[in-house]
Amino acid sequence: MLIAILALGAAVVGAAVYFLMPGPVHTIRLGAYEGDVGALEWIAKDKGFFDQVRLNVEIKGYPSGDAAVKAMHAGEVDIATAAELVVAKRSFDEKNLRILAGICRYWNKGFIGRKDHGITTHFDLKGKKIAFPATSSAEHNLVVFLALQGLTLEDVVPVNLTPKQIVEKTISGEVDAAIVWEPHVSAIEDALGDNAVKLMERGTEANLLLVGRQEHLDAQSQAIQKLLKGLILAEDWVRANPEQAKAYLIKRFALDAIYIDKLWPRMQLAVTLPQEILEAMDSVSRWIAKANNREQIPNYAETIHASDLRAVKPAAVGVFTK
Amino acid sequence: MDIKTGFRAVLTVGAVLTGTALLSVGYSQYAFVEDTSRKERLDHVANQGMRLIQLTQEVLLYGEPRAISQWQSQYVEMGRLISDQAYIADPDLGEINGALLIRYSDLSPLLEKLTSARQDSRQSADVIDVLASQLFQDATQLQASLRDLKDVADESHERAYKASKQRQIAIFSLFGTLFLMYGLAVMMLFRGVILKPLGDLERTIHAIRDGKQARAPNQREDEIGVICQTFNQLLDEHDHSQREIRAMAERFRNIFEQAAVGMSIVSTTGDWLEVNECLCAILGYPREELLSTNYRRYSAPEFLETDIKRVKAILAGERQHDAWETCYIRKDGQAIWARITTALTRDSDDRPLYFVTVTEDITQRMADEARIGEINRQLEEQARDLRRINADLESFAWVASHDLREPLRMISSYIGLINKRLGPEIEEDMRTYIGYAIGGAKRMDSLILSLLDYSRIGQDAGLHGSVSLNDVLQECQLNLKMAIQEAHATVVLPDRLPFVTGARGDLVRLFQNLIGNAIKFHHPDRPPVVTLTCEEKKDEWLLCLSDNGIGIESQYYDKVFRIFQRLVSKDEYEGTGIGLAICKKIVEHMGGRIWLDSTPGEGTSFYLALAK
Repeated sequence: MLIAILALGAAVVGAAVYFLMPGPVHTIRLGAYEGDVGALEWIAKDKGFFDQVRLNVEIKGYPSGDAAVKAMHAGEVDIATAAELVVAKRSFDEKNLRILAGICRYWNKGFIGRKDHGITTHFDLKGKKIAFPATSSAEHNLVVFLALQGLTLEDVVPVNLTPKQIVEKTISGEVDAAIVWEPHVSAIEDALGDNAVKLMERGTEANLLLVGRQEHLDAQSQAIQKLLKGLILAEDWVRANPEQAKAYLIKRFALDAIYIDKLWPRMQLAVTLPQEILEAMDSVSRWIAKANNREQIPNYAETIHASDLRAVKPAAVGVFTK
Repeated sequence: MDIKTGFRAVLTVGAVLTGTALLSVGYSQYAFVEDTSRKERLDHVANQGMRLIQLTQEVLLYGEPRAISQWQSQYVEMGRLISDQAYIADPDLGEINGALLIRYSDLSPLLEKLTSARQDSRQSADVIDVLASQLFQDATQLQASLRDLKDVADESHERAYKASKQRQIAIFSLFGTLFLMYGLAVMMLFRGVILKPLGDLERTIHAIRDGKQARAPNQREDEIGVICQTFNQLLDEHDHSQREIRAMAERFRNIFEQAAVGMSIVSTTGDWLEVNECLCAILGYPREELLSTNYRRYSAPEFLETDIKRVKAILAGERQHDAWETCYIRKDGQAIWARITTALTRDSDDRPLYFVTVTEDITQRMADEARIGEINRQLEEQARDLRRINADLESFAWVASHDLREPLRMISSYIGLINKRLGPEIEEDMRTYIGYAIGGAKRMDSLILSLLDYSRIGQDAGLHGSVSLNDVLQECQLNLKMAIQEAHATVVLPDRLPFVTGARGDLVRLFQNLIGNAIKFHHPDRPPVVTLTCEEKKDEWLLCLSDNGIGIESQYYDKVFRIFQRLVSKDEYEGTGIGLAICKKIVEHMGGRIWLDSTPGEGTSFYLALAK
């Protein structure tokens, strides 16, 4: 009898709490980057920040932004996570692609060459087989790096591979060098040992962006705002608990503590929408247009969907007016 | 806690409070200045960065050597600023600075490569485009970092301003409240510790001024408590003094009124201010009449001048008081003698106030003195007569004794010649008769000599002085040496005998007579023992000369001191019977006394009381 009364009381209290909470529970499918720079998405999910804002997030991990955006177009997820290069490149053809916010700014690229393949400095790259994941920030990094050496893609033999393949083929010697992001850089470096030569330390700046389709964003504005709120809660938690956040990353992605300590200053987990994202996309799009014989580059200001972030955190919106 | 300690504590608290408030304000200002300087530092970095961006854009657009040169200088300056320790240590920069450093460091290789690529005609346009594009991208990213930095600086400034404002408000609120509480506490303390007790004390004083019985509240242990306690003690002493003064005044009034002499208080001009009944009685006037008049009215005219002169001398300060005899005229016209004793009372500035005068009626005394004078004069005349008679008597005694002894010697001589002429044939009866006649003549001679001695006692007034009784007794023993030896007598004297005032010869005769009598009248069954003791009394020496002789019947105690009185037959003990009379006369002439106590058959004690 007593147990029944207690159970009834708990049910009443739970119901009261549930119904007193503002708004309904929304559901959203998130295609997250399966790696350290996508940490905010996983923390928000695993630490219950999405639950706090009454958002049910069905999260799915992808090894690259391009894969996540493809999945979004395939209808597997509602929101994808990708670097600005991915968005910039896809925006040439996908006019409904919209940027919600950046969730991480990072410098995590690395350029590793094999000494036994005659690469000891950046002067030895000409004619070498260089692996890279196409349609990624690494691709742009490669172009910039080569330009700094006075080279273009035509001066080398570019090999388009997935990050996992890059690691395998660089270690096996099927390619002479590779440009990719962490933790794959460290994996190659560790495997090659003294045979590895690091030609680039951190690469150019990149931003991991939340993107969605225009039609979905218009229809799911409340869910999108809850998604942003949950991510902002995660950001606040990371700022307040950096050591716990590091520990979470080590455990979540099976990383090395030394690696995290090295990477941590090069990844800034924050929900923002700064103006330089547009400028960065403009920069890469000029190269993309030229490389792909496209005369018109997209107006990336139109890809910005700032209303939901402005509604949640106005100060985070740094883009200028359209 | 006493008031001094309390107020020292209050002042200390006030000083600490003020010091803390000043320190707090100082700290607040210091923090504000620190925060402001931080904003200036960040602003400076942002401004220098914006210059670098501007130069980057110039290089991108035109590639002028001037722009490249300025860019390089600005790059170095920017590098210097962002490597400054104060800048690096700024805790709020964090990620912003991380991005800024990376973006800053990426600029230089891009710009250098772009510059060299532009100058290299062989370089492909694609490379130049990529480099220019990336340089522009990095520059805009650096610009974003600078905006963030500026935001941090602005936020920092705003935060500093708000913090300063909050600190100021907090400090003013806190210390305002504390000072208010302190002020209230001081006021309450001041009121409780000083104002209220002083108010109570003031009310007590007013009540006392209004003639009410009141006492200061005395429940505190601080200085005011001590003041109240002292005040109450003073009140007690004042009350006690007032009672004493009233009692003294009453006593003085009683003494003044009931004195057996006339008493008065007289102004410096001679008016009676106060008189007592006795003075009224002496002068025969009622008090009211005396109090409206001046003493001069009552002075006998022939004494008035003297009275005034005496009074003026006192007023002039020649003396403080004076006493003289004068004469007043009573209301009934009778002249009376009075002894005036008066003293001048002065105030604290030595100004004369009034005389306190005692008037003694000496009319009777003056009459008595006159009578005594007359008696003295008569006594002096009688003394002169007595001295003349004594001189005549002495002369007579001397002449008589001298002249009487001459016929006696003649009678004795001629009877001796007759006895010799008659020779052995003379009848026995005749011879006996002749012997009687000669013996009678000799005794007559002895009596005359004794009488002469008796008459001469006290005649040697010039030989009086301090005499050692030791010496006197030594001489006596020497004189009586033969008699002492013959009678196997023992004379016991004290170790020390005092000095007495008298004539040495008389004292030798006194003790020689007494010791000689003790030996002469010794008991036939025992050798004489004569013991002298001496005891000091208040004003005299009491000497006792005891013997173990035959003793004296008590009915003869007085008779033995009379002249020519004998208690035993002259046949049994020779002598004239004048010895003890001489002793008595010597002692009395010295102002002393002599008496005896005796037990017949056991002994006699003669007591001599001699003045010291």
